[in-house]
Order: sequence, then structure tokens, then C-alpha cells
Amino acid sequence: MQEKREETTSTTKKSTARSQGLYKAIWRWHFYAGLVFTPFLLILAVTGGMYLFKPQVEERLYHDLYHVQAQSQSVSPSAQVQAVKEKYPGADVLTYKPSDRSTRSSEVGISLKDHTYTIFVNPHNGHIIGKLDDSSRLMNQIEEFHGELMAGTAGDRIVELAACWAIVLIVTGAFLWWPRKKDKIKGVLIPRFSKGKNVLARDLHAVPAFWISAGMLFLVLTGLPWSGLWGNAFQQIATNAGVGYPPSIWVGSAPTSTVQTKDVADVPWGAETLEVPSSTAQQYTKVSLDDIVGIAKEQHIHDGYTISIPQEPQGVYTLSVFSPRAQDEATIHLDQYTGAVLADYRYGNYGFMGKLIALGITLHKGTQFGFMNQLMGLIICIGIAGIAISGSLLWWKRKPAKNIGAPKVPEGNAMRIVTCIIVVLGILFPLVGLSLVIVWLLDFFVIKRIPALKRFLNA
Amino acid sequence: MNKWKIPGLVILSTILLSACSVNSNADKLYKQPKPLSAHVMLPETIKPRSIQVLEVHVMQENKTVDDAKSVQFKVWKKDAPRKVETVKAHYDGSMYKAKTTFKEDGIYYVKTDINARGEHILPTQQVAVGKLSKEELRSLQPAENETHHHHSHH
Repeated sequence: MQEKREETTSTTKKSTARSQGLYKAIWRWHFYAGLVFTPFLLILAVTGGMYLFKPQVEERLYHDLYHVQAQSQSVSPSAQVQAVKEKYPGADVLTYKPSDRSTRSSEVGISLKDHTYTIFVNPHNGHIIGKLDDSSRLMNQIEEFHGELMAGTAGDRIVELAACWAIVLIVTGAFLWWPRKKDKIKGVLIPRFSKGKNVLARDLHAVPAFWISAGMLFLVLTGLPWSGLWGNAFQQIATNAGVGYPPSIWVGSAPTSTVQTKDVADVPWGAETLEVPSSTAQQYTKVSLDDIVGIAKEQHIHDGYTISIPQEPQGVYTLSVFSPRAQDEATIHLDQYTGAVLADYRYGNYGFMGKLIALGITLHKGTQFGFMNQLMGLIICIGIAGIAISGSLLWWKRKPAKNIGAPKVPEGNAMRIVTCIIVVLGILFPLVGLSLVIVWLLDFFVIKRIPALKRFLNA
Repeated sequence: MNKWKIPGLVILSTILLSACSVNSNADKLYKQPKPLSAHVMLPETIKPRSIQVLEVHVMQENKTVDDAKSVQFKVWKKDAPRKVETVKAHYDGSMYKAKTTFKEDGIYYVKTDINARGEHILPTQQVAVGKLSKEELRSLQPAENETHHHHSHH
């Protein structure tokens, strides 16, 4: 009897020790991941929260460029483009976006000296209303900040890394938050206000984090497919497997136009007039923009589409629309010499993964369900910012003077279990894996060898 | 575990990072288009003020199309784009044919407007009729006015 009881106590002790070890190990990962990525998550939350309201903000900023007086007569698309060409003789015309209602201007996208501009044209009389430098648009800059920290490819990788590590933070955070005693609500679902400052500080991080974590995970998972490394690889695998976006929408190339031009024969320039065999002069020309607009109407493409104009002999006209609702999306490629539909990809033609990604994008951007969608996004952004700040405060308040205040490395198997989980995440998200390899190398070659550093980091 | 962890990770991430290209025939896995194609046959030399026969062979998936809803030739002179003459073409057992007359010397456009099986194509060609002036000849050289400001995009 006595013996048995002792045995039970010792197993309980052992298991508590083990679970405490595990807790510390996870805490340690959560701690370091949080310390490094908090600033980036804060940036993503703030810029994301602003970008959500792009439609409203741009409507205000560019009101005078967007709106025209409604009239009954209108000028043909090619005449509108011609007006732009005359005003900007050196420009390449890249896109044309027809006006989708009588009070809206049409837009001509041009490139001029390595810059791209949007020229707004009154479709009723062909007058040019104004010009915007695309890279200087406020919302484009916020998007660039959100997507790549204004630092190109390097920035894109950092954002991707932060997003991947956000998953690590959510998973480890959920473990730390997980109620240890049954039937407990305080400190789990609602913060404890009467248990002292330290408990309150912890609860003000952990409790809101629980409430917001699902939304945060959703934003991370829907944002990842557009990232440069993981997203690109993921999109390629999905497209190749026939379950993603059809080629050319995100990855892969568009079909090509069949070039039917014949070389023009050399003609003697001395003669004033000359009889030319028509076969040598016969050339297929680009289908006119007006006919392309006609085809777009026949194809019942959703309003607000843009026509990309081919720049190469083998290029295609591309009609594309990425509407607020994913279901209205379309990308249609047309042979530039005949107008034949070479590919017609609508939402319904996407693979199931492509549909999920497309829906994810419109939900992430807050356009799928209108204002409610934007509001939800905003709440999650505010939540993420709040968690990042409260997490930092939590650390700052508890931090000892002499070191960084990281939880100690536990003994035993606990660290291994956590390491395994993290390695799995590292394989799913190669950038996490890569950053882990770097941390390990740093740990092995630098931190372990410098006692002061080792003490500071509690390694 | 530590033995294989790091090399394993490096290999795996290399595979994932390098497997980055879309198969050139990936489009076969998605909705397939059935575009029409047209072989437009215009007379070798076109004289003004004489009857000319315009022919077009319409195909879909390499098979002749004989049930087109409408096939029309739209003809206009380059310097008078608003004066478009439309002639209907009729199927003669192998091709769609129509007759028309070009009124003057000069550069014309012939647009073959084909509606068949829910598809619509309109290949457009430039043709020389009779004698051309020096300016008109120069405008036939495509390099002259198109490429001087052209960058290559890719």
C-alpha cells in the first residue's frame, strides 16, 4: 500500500516535471520568435489595416480624376488612346480600362521613361483629365510596405519569414495559453483584473491573443500564397497539378498569338508610284482596340476589366478583371491578329486550390463581403497590433536587468519534442527552416563559445 | 536526430526552391479553348475598279467549319476608316466566298468577320490596290513608325 502510493506520487512528480519542461521549452521558442518578429508583425498590422480601405481612400483622393459628367455620346476606345498618344508621343500604351458607367472616366496605362502612369480620359469627348504616376500612389506605397517593406526582394523575404514565424508564434502561444485546470474561464477567456499587475499583464496578452488568433492565422494563410518564395513555389505546384490557378494568372505564361505577318518585299524607292503584288504587301494587323472591347462585351466579362495591349509580335490581348468578389474574376487571352479566344479562365475554371486562394485573397483584402469584410479585417489588424505591443510590454516589465530574460533551456526530452514540431514547420515553410539553420549555426559557432553572450541569452 | 536534421533541411529546401517552373503543357489541365482559325485568300494582285473574289477557309481544331452563323468581309481604305463596305460571304462547298470591287489605288484594310459555333474572330489585313505612292509604300514598312520607341518587356 505504502509503496504503491509512493510510486504514484513519483510518477505524478515526474510527469509534472516533464510538462513543466515542455512548457518552458515552448515558452523559450515563443519568447525568441516574438522578440525578433514583433516589429514586423506590427508593421504588417498597421499597413494592412490602412490598405483595407483602399477603395474608399482612392475614391476620395482621386475623385476629380475618376468622375466625369454623364453624357449620351462617347468617343471610341481607339480614339481615346490616340488622344493619349498625341499628348505623350514617346509613351508605350500598355493597358486600357474602359469606363464602366457613364460618370466614370476611362484609364489608359502608359510607360514613359521607365515609369508607368495612369492617364484618365473622359470617354464622352476624349479629353485627358489628368495623370497619375503609379509608383507615387499612396495606396501602392502602402501595399509595397505591406508586401516588401519597400525593400524589394529582400523585404519580400522578410515579410514572408515574419508571416511564417507568426504561425510558430500562434502554435506555441496556443500551447502556453491552454488551460491547465478544467472549468477555468478567468485567465483563459477573460482577463483577471484582481490578481495583481503581473497576472493582468499576462492575461492582457494571452486572452486577447486567443480571441484574435484564428483571424490572424487566417490572414497569414491567405497572405502566404502571394509571397515571393513559398507562395510562388506553392502556386507552381498547384498549377502543375491542375488544382491551382490556370497558367498565366499567377505563375506560368500566357498563350501566344500566331504570327502571320509576311515580310514586306524590298521596293525600289526611286519610283514615284509602284504596282505592288498584294501578297507581298498583305499583312495581318493587330485587331483594333474597338473590336477587342466588342469581344469583351460578347464574352460577358465583369465590369471594371482592363485590356492589356500586346507589346510583342507574339503577344496577346489580355482581358482581366480582379473584382471585389472572387467569383467575378476572369482572365481571357485573345490572339492579337484574329481576336480568337486562346484561353478563357474564369473563377469556375480554377482548380479547387485556385478557388481557395482567390477567395482567400479577396477576404484578405476585405473586398469579398464589402464593408463588413473590411471591418473584420480592421479588428484583426488592431488585435494583432495590440498583441504585439502587450507581448513586448510583458517582456519589458519582467525583464531582469542583466540578461534578456529568456526562459532557461529545460533539461530532458522536452526541448526535443518542441524542436521536432518546429522542424516540421521548418519543412513546410522553407524560410523558417532556413532561418532555423542559421540560428543553429549561430548558436553552435558563436553563442556557445562566448560565455557573456550565453549568459545574456540564457542559452 | 541532429545528424540528419540540418542536411535534410538543406536538401529539402533546395528541392522546394528549385522546383520552380510551370510545365509548358500545364494549360491542358484547365479549360481548353476551341479557337477558330481562318485562312484568308486575297487575289495576288488587286486592280482597282474590277471585280475581285475574296475567299476564306474557316477551321476549328483543324477541321473545316461549314456551319458559320455569319461570314462577312469589311473593306475600307486606310485614309477613310469611316467608309466601311460590308459584303456577305457564302459557303461554296469548301470555302466562304464573296465578291467586291476596290474603287481606287491605295492601301486598303480587309477585315474578315467570322461568327461560328459561339466563337467570333476578325482577322484584319492590309492590302495594296493598284499603284501606291511613295508615302504609302513607306507606311507598309512596319519598322518605320512602330519600333523606334519600343522596349522589350519580359
